[in-house]
Amino acid sequence: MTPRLHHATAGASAGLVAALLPLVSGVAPVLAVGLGLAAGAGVALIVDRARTGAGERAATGASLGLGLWALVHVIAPALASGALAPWTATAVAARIPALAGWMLWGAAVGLLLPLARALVAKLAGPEALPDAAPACTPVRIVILGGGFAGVATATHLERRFGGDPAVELVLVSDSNALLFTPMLAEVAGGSLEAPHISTPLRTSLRRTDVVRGAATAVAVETRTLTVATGDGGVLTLRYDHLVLALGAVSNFLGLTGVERESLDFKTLADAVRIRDHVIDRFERADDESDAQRRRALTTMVVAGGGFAGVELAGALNDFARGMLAWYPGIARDEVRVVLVHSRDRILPELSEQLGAYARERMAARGVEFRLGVRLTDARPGVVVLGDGSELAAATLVWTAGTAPNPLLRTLPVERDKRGAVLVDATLAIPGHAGLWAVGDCAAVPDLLNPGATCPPTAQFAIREAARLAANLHAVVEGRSTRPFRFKPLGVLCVVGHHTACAEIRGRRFSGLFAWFLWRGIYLSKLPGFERKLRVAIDWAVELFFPRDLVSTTVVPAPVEPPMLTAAAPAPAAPATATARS
Amino acid sequence: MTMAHCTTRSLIWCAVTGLAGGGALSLLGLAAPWAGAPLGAAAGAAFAVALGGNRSGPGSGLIWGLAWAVLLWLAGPVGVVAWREGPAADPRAALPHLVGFILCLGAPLGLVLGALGHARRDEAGGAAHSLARAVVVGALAGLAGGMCFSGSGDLPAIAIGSSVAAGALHLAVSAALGVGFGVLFQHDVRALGSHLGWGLAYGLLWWFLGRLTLLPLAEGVVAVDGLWSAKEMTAAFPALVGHVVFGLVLGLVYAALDRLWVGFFHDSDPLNRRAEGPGTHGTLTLGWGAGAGLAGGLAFAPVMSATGILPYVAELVGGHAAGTGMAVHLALAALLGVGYGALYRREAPDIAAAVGWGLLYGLIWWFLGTLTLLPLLTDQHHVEWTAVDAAAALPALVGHLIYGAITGLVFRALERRYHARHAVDPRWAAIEARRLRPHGTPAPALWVFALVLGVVLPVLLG
Repeated sequence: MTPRLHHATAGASAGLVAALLPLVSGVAPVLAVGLGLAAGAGVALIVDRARTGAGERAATGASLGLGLWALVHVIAPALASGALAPWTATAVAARIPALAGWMLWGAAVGLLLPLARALVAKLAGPEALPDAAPACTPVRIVILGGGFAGVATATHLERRFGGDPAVELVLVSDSNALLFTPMLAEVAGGSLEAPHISTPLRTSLRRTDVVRGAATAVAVETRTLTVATGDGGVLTLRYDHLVLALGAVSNFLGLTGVERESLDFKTLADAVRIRDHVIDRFERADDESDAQRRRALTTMVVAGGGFAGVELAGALNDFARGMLAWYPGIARDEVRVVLVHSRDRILPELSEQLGAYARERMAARGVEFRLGVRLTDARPGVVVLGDGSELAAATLVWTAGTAPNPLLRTLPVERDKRGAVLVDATLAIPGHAGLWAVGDCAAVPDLLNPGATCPPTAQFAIREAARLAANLHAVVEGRSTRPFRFKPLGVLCVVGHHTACAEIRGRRFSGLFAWFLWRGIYLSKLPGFERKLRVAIDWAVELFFPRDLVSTTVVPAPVEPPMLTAAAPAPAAPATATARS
Repeated sequence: MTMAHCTTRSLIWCAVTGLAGGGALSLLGLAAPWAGAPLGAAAGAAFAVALGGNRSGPGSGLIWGLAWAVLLWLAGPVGVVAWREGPAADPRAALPHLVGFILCLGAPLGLVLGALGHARRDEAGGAAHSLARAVVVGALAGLAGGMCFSGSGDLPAIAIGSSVAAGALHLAVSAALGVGFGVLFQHDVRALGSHLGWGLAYGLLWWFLGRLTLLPLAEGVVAVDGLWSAKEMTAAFPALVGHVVFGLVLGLVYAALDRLWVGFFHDSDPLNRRAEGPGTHGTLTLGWGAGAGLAGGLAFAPVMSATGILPYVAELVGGHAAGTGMAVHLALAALLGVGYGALYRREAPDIAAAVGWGLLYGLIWWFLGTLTLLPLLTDQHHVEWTAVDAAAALPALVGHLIYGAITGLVFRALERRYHARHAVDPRWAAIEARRLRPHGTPAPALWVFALVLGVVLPVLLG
């Protein structure tokens, strides 16, 4: 007998015995017996068996008896007659004896339930226990990468598999938190506190094992991978399905000087480092008597005119100019933020019109642009451009190129010219059962644009992850997979204070409204209510107080005073992928 | 059964207490001279047997005792009389017995058994119980409740001198009652919603003890038919609602201040921090509550429509049409549902508890909404709390009970679905298991006492 049937039978038995009480109080015999049986079964099903105290069961049953009385003697007659006549004080008072009967019935059912259960067990056998799951090795799904794609994959897998013990989920990440990269520029610009835009993996994943470390090798034939856990520790993990969600790293295009002298802009530590670096240079500039050196210290160059570079340039411009009031030794015109971009317009992802608007607004706020020229070299305090000119700048940030994680080059899989792993429309790597890729490190065919691949953006990464999780679930369950298909919703870019550009489903927005859209949409997408609250508070505080000037890290002093040299234009370096891992 | 948990000591004490209580009932003429004491002793012994394992302090015992008194009243004066006299039986004749059972049997039995028990050592948040907290917070909450109750115009008649002195005495008594609430119930209350329920029960008890008994005794009334007659209880009906409102305000303010106290002095200490979930539960409960309230409002809607009250409800926003009234009703239903979510989350370990809390919530809003706020905010602009008005509002009581039960059920279903999804993490499952109201608390007794009296008294006194 199933547990439910067992409980219901016991409850019905107790209800039948206790039906004597409403009978005595004047309830019609058919009603008392019939309802006693049915309601007794119901009481047994909805009262938790963990209520072991007799008084507790009796009181709970009595409360339910009141509800039953109201239903049967007050509400039902009104529904049957179509009028509220039974609901006068006199009419209800006449039904008080029935209330007594049903409440005492409920108390009696509560008291008799354990006895009834024992009797049913004796007569009909004990309740059937659920079949124990057969012992077997669980299917292990390992996800490499704790970014948008990796964490979204893990989250969707948890939802699909629930608590199924036959499946193990493991996520390997070199950081312990998911970084919300759209707000990274705001950290560098001092609008937001660094931890507020990261969500710890351990609090957002329910039952995924989080392994802190970096994957160093994958053995596809034996389905194992090696993870370096720091301090020389090494872990070997077996997998049945491996999801590559390693994202991208900065690509310095072979420019070793740039790689050495520039600040990266990929991680939270990078954003904090940029902010503290700018503060440090301003501190030094305020005490610098030489005008040329001072100007170099307060000049910031951002390489790359895509979303990351433009947002960072706008944020640094607002930050630097906003703190001038506390640096009386620095003149306003000595502060320079220069955006260098190889194409003739910034934000190629947006329409030409919006790109031009962004440039105009940023220029009005003091950002300078060097378009149509590449950054070819860097020396301490000096940035060299492709047209031969040099800029004396103590701060250089590189956002001009990314490449997929170098671990992918060690795998026996096909890659495109960008270095991303080729996958089919179901996100599986062809020819390698159990291998999948998603996000920036994958070249996912765009079924809505035949011949093209999906752009490496967070919007696509999150949706690819959902489809991948569904396909993994299907494979484990023995069902067929489905292709990934997604029409992008739009793009948003903030370029400065109260100024942004947006294209959403073909409609263009700019200015203050777009800025509200940017903040509203990204706040809603930031994982975790607590994080949303913290960011909202940071933004609210910023309305009334200036941005913080506290530098939390020790920034190395400039190696040598920044000096310009009359060097010949450097030849353009070949575009080989020298990625810094 | 829990006979094994019922000690001989508690059995004897309860039997003796019941004996005394039954004897008192005989003296008061509410029981036959030969039957009162022995039946009282038997009731006391049965109480000790039934509640053997549920001993956790005087407050907990008191609530169990009050529920026991109500069940005895239903079984005895109401049930037996109905059996003997059939359809002609008048339940109003049993009203003096209700008061007698509560004050002479239920309350003493509960206090005695609770005093013999052990106080529960830990609270939901892990903060230790504190007499100082009970006294300070209780006094402040009592003052807040007293300020709301004073609007009933039914201040203690024994106040002497000026109205200022009367008011001061009233507030002093309110503060004292608040201290009593804190001392008795600090162990049992968890979420804000349960504070409301306990407050309602406490208010009802003090109506019986204070308004119906001590006050007339102080005025020289000694006969039962002068103290506890249906006529006297009907005349004291405004004070009944006033005591309920006092109890609700007391409970809610106590809960808020208590949480502040615990939060500031205990939970904020880093040593006491525990692993938390993703931090979305509180926000999500508001959404679930709104949805559940809407479901309850839709179930209540036919009653609203049939009683013709919708135009009256529309007056809250300056309208008169039934359609406007329905829209206002549904909006209020959702809003009250949000309140249910905020007040009663994690209070229902099973479906029966969801029904119990939901019915109680509906009853609370009948007192607060239909009897108090609606007259105050519409054309009447004042509150009278007469038994006649309450009787006329009985259809609304039924509707509120339907609303409450549906809201409680739907809310629990939504809450359970969320928990089932997150319970795959054993750490989170352990946290939630700790926070959920456990079994073995006096909550079922509270439902019996508050719901029966909340329904029966307006019916019999109206």
